Amino acid sequence: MTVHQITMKPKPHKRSNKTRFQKPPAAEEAENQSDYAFKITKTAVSQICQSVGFKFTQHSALETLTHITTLYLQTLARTAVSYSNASNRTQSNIFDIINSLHDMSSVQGFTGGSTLHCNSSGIGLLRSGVLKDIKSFVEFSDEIPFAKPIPRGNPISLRRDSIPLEIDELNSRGLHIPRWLSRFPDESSYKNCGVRWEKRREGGLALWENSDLVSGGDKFQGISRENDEISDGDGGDLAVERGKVRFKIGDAVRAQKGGVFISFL
Amino acid sequence: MNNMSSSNSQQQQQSSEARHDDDAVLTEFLASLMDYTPTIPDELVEHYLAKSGFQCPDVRLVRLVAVATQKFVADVATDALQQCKARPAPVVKDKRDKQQKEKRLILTMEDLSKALSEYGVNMKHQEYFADSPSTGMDPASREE
Repeated sequence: MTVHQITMKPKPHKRSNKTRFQKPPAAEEAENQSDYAFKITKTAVSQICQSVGFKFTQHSALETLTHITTLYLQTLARTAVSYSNASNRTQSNIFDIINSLHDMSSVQGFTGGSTLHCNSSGIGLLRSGVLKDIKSFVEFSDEIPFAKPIPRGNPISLRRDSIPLEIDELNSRGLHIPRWLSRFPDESSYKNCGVRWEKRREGGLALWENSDLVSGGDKFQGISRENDEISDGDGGDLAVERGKVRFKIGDAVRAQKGGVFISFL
Repeated sequence: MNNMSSSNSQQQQQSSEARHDDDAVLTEFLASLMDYTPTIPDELVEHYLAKSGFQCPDVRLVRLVAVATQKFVADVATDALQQCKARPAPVVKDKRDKQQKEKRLILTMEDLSKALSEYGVNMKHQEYFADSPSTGMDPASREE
């Protein structure tokens, strides 16, 4: 592995929130190259490091701290989600976040951590030491906005068969259907089905080759026509007429004697 | 977990003076988050939250997560800085004393792994994949 140890440029005379990176060689960190979120986290983390007082950083150290940050965020979120799911909710609330913060900071310990579970009334959650720490962090640390505004991507369009979010649609379908169920498939796929079959029956018997199973869609039209062409001939007969061949059993020996040998194809 | 959730619901039924105070403090704190801009942008936090299955329409909670993460990173970085500063000062031969002191503030893997070990992250980087030819030497005593 090659070297580069310092990615943050020192700015002794002028402090600014922007962090500049010396461009690393292209061969490095190829796997993260495409990861946009990772890059943004890296910038944010290096901004925090700079605000703490670091002037330089090893490239690998910054990468590691960024990775840990993303893991921290995701673990925090996942723990909160599991707390909310455990209490039969899909949306998380502040108590889930506080609980998950407690879980995350239980390694190094926090004020009131020992009596956390003794308190059956749960008031401890609101008086959480972790939350107080965060509060004082917000109060006493300098606000460092992210270096550049991030353009928001287009909102993801919901798929047609996804869970309906509009209240009108929810009301229009029966109350007996739980709202977390996704939409029904398109009506044409099940309502008109029977009618179509009845029409077919009235039209009389149809060849199996022409039935929906074989030539159901336009896709199979070509194949069915080919089948038709082939079946135009006298079913199973050869295209060119051949002369009749007769065989006489028992005459083969005599024929061989005569110098003529007939072999049947 | 179930105990916690049941205690949550119990807690919501209770209405004591102390709780009102705590509620007020919490509400005030959450309101203050609306004005605070965390270093970790909202968009990024939302991305990672959504990736983990976290659903919440409340911006304040997203900010809370952002601030918590920012605090974590700042704490780790501060610890690493302390490790860095606690290193015995190198013998300075030249007179560029001040510059040397500036140069010392480098975030290194060594300091970072020491700082992270306090936060439950056991980081072991492979030393034979050398970051630089001078890896293994004291970074402070390293000559340029």
